[in-house]
Amino acid sequence: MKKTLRLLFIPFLLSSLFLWPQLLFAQSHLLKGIVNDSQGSPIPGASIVLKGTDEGVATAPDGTFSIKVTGSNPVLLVSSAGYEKRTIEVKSATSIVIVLNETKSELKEVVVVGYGTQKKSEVTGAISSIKNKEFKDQPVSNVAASIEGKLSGINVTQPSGTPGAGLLVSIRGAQNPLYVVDGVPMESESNSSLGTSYNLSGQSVGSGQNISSISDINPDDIESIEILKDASKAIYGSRAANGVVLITTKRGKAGKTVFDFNMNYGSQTVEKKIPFLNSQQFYNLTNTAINNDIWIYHNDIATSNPNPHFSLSDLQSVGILDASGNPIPNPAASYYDIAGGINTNWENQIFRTAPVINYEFSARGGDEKTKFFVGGGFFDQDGIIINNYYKRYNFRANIDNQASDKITIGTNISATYSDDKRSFNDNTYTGIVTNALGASPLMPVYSSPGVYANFGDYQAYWLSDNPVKSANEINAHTFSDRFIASVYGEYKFSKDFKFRTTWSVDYSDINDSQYFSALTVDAQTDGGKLLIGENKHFTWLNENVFTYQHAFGKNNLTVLGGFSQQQTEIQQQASEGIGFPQTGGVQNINNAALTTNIPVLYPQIFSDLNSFISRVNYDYDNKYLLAVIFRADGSSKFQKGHQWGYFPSVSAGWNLTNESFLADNNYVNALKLRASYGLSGQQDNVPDYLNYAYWGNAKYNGSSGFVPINLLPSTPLTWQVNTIFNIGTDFELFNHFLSGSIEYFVSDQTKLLNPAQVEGITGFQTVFTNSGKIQDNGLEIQLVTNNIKSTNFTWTSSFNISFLKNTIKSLSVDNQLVSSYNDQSPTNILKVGQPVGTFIGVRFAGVDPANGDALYYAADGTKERADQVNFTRDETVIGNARPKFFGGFTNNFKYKKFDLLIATQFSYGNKVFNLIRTTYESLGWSSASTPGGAYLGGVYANNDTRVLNAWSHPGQITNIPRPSFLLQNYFPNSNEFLEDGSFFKIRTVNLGYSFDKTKYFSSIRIYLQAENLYTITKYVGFDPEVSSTGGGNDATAGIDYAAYPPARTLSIGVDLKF
Amino acid sequence: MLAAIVISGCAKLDQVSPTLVQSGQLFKDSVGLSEAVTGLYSTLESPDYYGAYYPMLADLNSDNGVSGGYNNTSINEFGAYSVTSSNIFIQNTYVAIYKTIATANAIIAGESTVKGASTAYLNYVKGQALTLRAMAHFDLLRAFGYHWDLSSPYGVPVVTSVQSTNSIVPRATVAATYAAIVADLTQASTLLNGIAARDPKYVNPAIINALLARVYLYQKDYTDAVNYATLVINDGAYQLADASHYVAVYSNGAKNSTEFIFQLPFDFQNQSHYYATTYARPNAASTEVLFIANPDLQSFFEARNGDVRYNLMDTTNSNGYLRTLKYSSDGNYKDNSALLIRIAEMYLIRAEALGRTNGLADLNTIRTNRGLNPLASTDVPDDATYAQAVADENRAEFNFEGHRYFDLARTGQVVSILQPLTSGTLTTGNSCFPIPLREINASNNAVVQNPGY
Repeated sequence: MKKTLRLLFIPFLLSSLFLWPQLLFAQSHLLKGIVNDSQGSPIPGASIVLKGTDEGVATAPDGTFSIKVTGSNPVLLVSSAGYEKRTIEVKSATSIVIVLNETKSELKEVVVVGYGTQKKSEVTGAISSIKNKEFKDQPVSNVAASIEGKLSGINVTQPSGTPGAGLLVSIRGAQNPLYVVDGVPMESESNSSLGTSYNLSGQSVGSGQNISSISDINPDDIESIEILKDASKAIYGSRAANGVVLITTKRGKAGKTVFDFNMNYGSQTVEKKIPFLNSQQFYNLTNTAINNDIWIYHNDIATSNPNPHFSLSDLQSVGILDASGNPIPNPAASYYDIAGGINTNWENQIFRTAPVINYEFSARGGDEKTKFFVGGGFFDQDGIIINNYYKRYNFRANIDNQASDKITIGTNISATYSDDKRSFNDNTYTGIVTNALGASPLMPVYSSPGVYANFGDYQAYWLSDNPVKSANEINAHTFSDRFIASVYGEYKFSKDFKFRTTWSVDYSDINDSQYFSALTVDAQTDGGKLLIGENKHFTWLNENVFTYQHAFGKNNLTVLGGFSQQQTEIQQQASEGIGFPQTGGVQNINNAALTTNIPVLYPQIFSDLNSFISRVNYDYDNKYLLAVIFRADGSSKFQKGHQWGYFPSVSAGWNLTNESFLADNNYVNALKLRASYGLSGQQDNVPDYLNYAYWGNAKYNGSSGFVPINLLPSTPLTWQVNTIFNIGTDFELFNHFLSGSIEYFVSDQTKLLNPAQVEGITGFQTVFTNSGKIQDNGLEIQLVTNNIKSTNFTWTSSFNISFLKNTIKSLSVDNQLVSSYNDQSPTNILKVGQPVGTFIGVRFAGVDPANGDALYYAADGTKERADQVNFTRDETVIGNARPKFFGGFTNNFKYKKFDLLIATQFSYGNKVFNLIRTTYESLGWSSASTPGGAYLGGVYANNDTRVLNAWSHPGQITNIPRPSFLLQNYFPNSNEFLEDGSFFKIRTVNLGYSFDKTKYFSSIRIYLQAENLYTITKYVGFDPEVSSTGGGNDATAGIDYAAYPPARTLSIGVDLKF
Repeated sequence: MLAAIVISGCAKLDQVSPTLVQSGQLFKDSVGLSEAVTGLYSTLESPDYYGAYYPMLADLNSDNGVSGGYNNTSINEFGAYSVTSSNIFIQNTYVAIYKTIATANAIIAGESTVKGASTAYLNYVKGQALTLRAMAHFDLLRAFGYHWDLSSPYGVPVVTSVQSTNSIVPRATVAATYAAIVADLTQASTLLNGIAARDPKYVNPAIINALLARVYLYQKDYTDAVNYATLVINDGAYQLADASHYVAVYSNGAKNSTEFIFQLPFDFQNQSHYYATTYARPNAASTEVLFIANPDLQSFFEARNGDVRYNLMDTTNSNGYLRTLKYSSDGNYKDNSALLIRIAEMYLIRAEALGRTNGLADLNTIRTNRGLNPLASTDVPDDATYAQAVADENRAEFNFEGHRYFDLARTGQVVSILQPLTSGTLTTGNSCFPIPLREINASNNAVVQNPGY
């Protein structure tokens, strides 16, 4: 296998050889040079010795050196702590750039563990870590996109391709982890105060498209990301049950100030289009459907079908058969203007090639006392759907100062402003994509210049509006201001004992503005409609931590103890205005004829959290490791007496390679076994103010009053508790060829804080309770191999795969049906023994070859037609959205000055409920649900070209039922529309070239980048990575209602350091 | 130093919402009590109750309606008269109606802690709460129970006290449910005795009498039905609009007419969903309108020459479907009133309860005020034709006001009238909706399903 791969690269090697002529020979001369690390940063103090002599020099702070070399074949030995030694043949060169690679030993890396750092070799928990170099240069706004497919146990999916959209981050099967940026736990939920998906009554349905406040953190500012997966997360106690993502931003380094300018420009296109019928095919489908109905009517008579499909009057009332029962020739022709020559490809009308540009400028430097990192960036991404973009401006300053031997102070400040021009109603039945997928090819975009075609004048009743009109005439923005800042002071009482206090704020102000022009269906009768909303979120946090670290002989001890307190204040408001003047396009609420407030359930919230934190790390001779964590959290969300929760954990490790029997062994370079067990909690998933029974605002006849808005559970609420057991091993084998980790875990989420069903007689459907239990267990494998390491060519691979299993162990009420949209039939079920995210539906029994009927299994196992299905009786579990396994495979190549990264991602066994396909494979069906309501112009939606293979004659074996005009010859909530969502994606390809240092630049790298290059999947829709709620609810994951498809991005970039 | 920080800045763990109130605060004085009553009325306006869906779904589930919308399985089930127990709409409606009952019970219980209010005021509040609790129980019974069969065990859970999370109340018998409804209305009638105001937006003695007339008619207690209907007709506050003024009753959001005995007002701050679900906009597609009119209703009106009520149907829509125009006014404010009881119903109750010989005059009062000729007794030669004439008048008068399905069930005609309009098989069991599956699950099967579901 390895040999084949090598062979593949021979052409690449050969072509490169010709480009780079070899250096000439010489005898004795002065050699000047610079020693850089692999990132192009100079290494000060590196040792350079001429082999066979005592002559040696050390590099200057800027990494430069000069040395006199003699001999016929001079050879330099270059070394520096933390880097691999190199032997370099100088020959006759007079200047040289020497690159030292960081020592590959993964176990020597330092990882952030929460309230401190540890060497990886000392870590006893399951912590995934990823460094900046593994995700830089990607044209993504959200840091979560950077870790897709790269870390075991972590499944990141992109439910929507819209710029700035949230991602679904699932750590060991649990969604919505806690994000901690430089020690500040940050608000990571979508805080938009308005819905973004409305039905035509203006009611919010489904959450559509999440925005993500993680997008406020510029991925380019990030130095490393660590993810606490096991009991090590107990240090974050009450909010850690779903895992903790620790984000560390770049800090200053002593030395010459390094300026870094990075820009890339990309071009995005939709990754896949669904092929649709053209005008003629669309017309033919309708005619086929009508003719089929006449045929089946006669066939029912001929075969004496006891359950005939129609009566004669059904066909007569629509105008398919005349009074004497004879077919009316071409009855629908007048509704389908084929001769008009219109053939609109709606996907081409709403999708476009869109640019994405990212500029990032930073300076990083300092001296021994003061170090700084300052940077600013601008990210500007246009959506691949027309009139949709995301712009972000961000600034950061991280400064550390050693004021005296005892006192260190510092600050982290980041400010972000973003403008998200939304693509409206994403992944719901009134969205732009949704409408485009059903629109008739006979409908033009504009009926006359500048006048949008009225969709009601054309067929395809699926539409809620002309898709291009929706895109242009709904002007929806989410403006977001984010300010995260902290200051810290650290006092060293002695060499071993220090105290650190940190004060931080996280402030966000999200303003939504959604304007529907008077041309839109939504606001036609209103004369223009504007919804505005604001969500202000302010958290202050104070943390005070003592750390004592001491070595007693071979015993190493670190003790940490502290106290933290935080308060969050949230304010929300929303209003609506209708009736706007038509002159000048004004879209301000002041111009509305009528305004009203939209009631908000909790307009103002205060939420407090107090915590005591402690951790003890002990090791003996770096062989036997032990860590104990204890955290106590008190939350204002719960009733008095139930506010405090206690989260202990313990973990232990054994470094076998530090034992004499494995020491100095070239086969086993490092081997550690570890185990952990501990508790953590969860409370972010419940609303505030469940501590009392409250009455909230109500209106009647112009008066304001109160109605009950919540029920108290029978036992007071308390923390959701996660207990997790983990065993794992970290290893480095075969002379550093292979390194990695293998983990096995069992995680129980117990006392789940969730809305439990109660009897409706209470006036409520649900009450928040601690009830139920969900178990996750799994095996995670993460491997890194150094396949080839030679002077000019290196090739490393990393591979990860995770087998996770999720099972509901108990529920307050079993068999709860869940609707992905609050006005639609249930698509999911919560059922003991099944995973969260289980789909229900009727089982498809195939197409009857005799007459083309779609058949379904009734509850008793017999087969029935779509119009005979009784959903409640016949529905059953049909699959679930969770993959059986997922992972990624990433390869890094470096040949001389070229570097190439290929990152891939895979997922196997996850199902997707393709609900939108029930529209675009409606098989010529007319819109009315009863035969009496159908009419010849009323075809439901255009169809994809798959229906060209629909059943057409008796005896035909096919999976696509007979087109029918009067009957819906398919049942939407069935596994006919449940598809295999397994995929293999080439997520990222990055090819770079680094130039030699020039007079002005210490490093220049140019690169070509491809994102979402290619997907292999059987999925019929745009992309199998979908979720009805934008990732908000894992009970309804994997529902496709025409989500915004992902973009394929090709970009070019340059990174300059000077 | 640390101690100082801890003491000075400590975040408070006992937080009370600054924007919500607790029942202890509310039931302190008459001001809080009146604000709770405002809340009680607001529960009637829930979208799932009289905000639109309860009456509109009942019409959709009859020969008046056809399902529109985006091929929504849950809506289509009503259009095909085959609602199943996991239907999202009945699930929401069931709980929305019990919310009215729960709020009424909380107010009745809360009165004991109210200080400084007069007995008359406490009685007035309690009377309103009892009336609305009775109406909610009745609305549940006719949607989810065997209301046409007084000997049936399939009534609905009768809830007359504040319930907690763990409460489970099994279904009462139909007779017991009716008894509870009548008891509440009778007590309310006593408590509100002497109230002269006839504001159709708030419970008053005429509303109580009208509800009693309706409930007695459903129970087939014709004597009492006639008595209470007569009380309302003779009340003096209400008057039928004549043929030339009838259509205008529904204009401007149907806010003001002496036709109305009980109506719920909406305004721009607090919108109803009638306009959006039955009309949507002038040239709306059939997908935009959830509750489309059935061609059968058009045929029905076409056989009634001169009936002004046909003018409230849109039959000229270029998109090929029919819709009611009862809620087509005021697209801006979306404040079409919910029309719970109109005076016309009292005439038709009396016409039905009095029977062919004595009732024809009331029937003709309605007909002549709607542009039709009066019927001669020879036009209704027997009880069957008379019953049909009353049923037709009810359909013409109250289509898209939420009567038809319940009237069909009450008169045992669900199968005979609806079966020809669907390919599914209907039985008497289809005369009410199934109990929502979630209620059966949440009550651990203590609440039993209707036969046939």
